Amino acid sequence: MSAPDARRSGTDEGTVQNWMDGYRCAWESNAPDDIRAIFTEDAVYRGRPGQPAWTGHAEIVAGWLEHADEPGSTTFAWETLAREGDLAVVRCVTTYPRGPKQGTYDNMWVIEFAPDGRAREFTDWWIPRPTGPAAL
Amino acid sequence: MTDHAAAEDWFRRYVVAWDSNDPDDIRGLFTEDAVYRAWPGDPEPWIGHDGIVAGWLAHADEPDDHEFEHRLLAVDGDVAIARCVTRYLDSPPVVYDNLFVVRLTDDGRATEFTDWVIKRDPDTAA
Repeated sequence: MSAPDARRSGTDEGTVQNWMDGYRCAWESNAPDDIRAIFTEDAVYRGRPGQPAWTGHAEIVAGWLEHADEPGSTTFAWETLAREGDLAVVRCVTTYPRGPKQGTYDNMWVIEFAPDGRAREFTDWWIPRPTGPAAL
Repeated sequence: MTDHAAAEDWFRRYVVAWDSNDPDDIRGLFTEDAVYRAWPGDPEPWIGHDGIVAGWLAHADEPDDHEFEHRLLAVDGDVAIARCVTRYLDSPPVVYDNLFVVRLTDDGRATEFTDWVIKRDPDTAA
């Protein structure tokens, strides 16, 4: 193959890193400006596949705040599993040490990026882990 | 390193094995030491040809009891990821959203397979 990395031209790892940093920042702050900063105005946010999405900044901010976690309530680890074109698939592990969501969750985030590095589509595939340590 | 054509061929053969439940078809999909996770937190993955064939047959579907569609989302390095929907034709139907995550060798067999399976809530489905 003459240009093995050409298919990755749409999304580089720096774009993913910046976006994940932005998401984590918004997760901790719940500040509407932080939330809006990582999504395009018409973005589609699916908190679960196969379910109705939040569409656009107003719905995303409203939905986010309705389900907001308290700052410091989670530990979170991630690694990029695949990038192709505008898409990144990120493998995550989220742990809530206490509280109503207490436990460890395996997440796969499917993120479609706009050229400016914001997400125009986001889906969180999350599945609770019955027991065991939080490790990727 | 895999590519779209190899990944699509693997999915085609996966569907053949799903319908046939033939041990040779199942073994042909996986390396001898492959790991098959029925979900990401699976504490008891099926390991190796014997484990995978036994687990597969214990949970075998009939060829006409379900519909399956898949769309490759990304292929990168040895990883292929597909967005899938599985409909069991019960009454009422039971629908699962799946993300299949497969690591493929150059000879087109999987070393690792994980089914990120989420049952769709019929009351709130999109």
